[in-house]
Amino acid sequence: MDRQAIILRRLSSMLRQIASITICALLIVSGRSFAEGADQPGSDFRFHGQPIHPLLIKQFEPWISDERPPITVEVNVSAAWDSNQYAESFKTETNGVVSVKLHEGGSFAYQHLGALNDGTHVVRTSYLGGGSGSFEALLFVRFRTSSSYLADGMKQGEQIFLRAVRRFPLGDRDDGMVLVKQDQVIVGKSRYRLEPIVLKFEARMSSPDNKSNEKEKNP
Amino acid sequence: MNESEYLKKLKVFEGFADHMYLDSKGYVTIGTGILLSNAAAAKSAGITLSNRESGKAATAEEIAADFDSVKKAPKSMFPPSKYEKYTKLYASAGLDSALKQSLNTAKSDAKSFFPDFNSLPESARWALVDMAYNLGGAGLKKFAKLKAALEKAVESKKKEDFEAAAKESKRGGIQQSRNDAIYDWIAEGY
Repeated sequence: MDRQAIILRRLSSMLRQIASITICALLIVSGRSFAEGADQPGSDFRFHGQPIHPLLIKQFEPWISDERPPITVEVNVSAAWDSNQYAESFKTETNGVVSVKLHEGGSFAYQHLGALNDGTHVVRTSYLGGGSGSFEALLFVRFRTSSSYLADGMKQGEQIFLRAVRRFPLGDRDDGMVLVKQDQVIVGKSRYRLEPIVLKFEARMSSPDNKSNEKEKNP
Repeated sequence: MNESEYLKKLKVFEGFADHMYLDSKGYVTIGTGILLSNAAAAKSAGITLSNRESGKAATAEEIAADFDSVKKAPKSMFPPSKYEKYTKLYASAGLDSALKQSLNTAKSDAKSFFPDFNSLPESARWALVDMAYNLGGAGLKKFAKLKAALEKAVESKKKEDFEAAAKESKRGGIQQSRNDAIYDWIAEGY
């Protein structure tokens, strides 16, 4: 009986150890996956739980004096994160408007309106130069992850980029409603449009880019 | 074109109402975009409100009632005159002085953008003031090619140089009529 009791105690102890090891392993694995997940931009257009810095979005804004598409079409979100270059404090309103005062005067703001089926995010931007005008636009952006060179120019690491794929200028103080649907965006009428405009988005075709080691991300 | 003629045009460009209305962001506003953060703000902005029917100066309660009524009105109505039915009061005095204050800021921004401002023909001066009013000083400074073209035109005094400068004045996102007017004012030359 004593021998059986000893064996049972040993078995019980072993089971407890196995259970402890399993729990620890699960905690480590879940902790790692949480940390990795935090690096990925979410469907809420946040990175590391924070709104994308408005100055980063402003990079896609052509000058008000230039009628043309964005000159800068992609930014490195990973590199900008926690950088001095994008340390300027910004404000997030309860309605989701993220705004920043500009050193040159005026301000820039954006509001994430949603995402299309293909992962394209729809953002409404407004630029104020300090006068009566608030110049608005719709910006269509996509995240992609890519293995790219890091700061030392030697090692490579996976980094997240944000690419502007389309910009649709609205107007000064444009009050048109914008509706984001699965594969289209409807821009409501305003003093600049007598009728609503439908912006359609085709399913993405394969491109030479897709043959590289880059992959488009649909958060 | 003198200042009072320009102010008439500015009211058309910007939208104007002598009663409270909602701007494109849903804020209570009066005149040419004078923001009223609360009912008392009209008084502190030097604007006198009077009752449209009696003609008497409005009480604080009447002002608060108009403010609340407009605040609850549907957003995104343009022109601002569509909000008149939500109001009982109108600005009997003070709107022009508030507008002139904004205009002085615009003049200062225009002179900062183009230091040789006083050498420009009068209509071109008003064109720059209008751009500064709408774009702000920071926005106007983005028009680097306009500045260079105006410098050339002031020196040469040739009409074709003013026409070339006028082409550089186009703002995206505003009414075509306003862009056309500014083009004409600059292209006019001396």
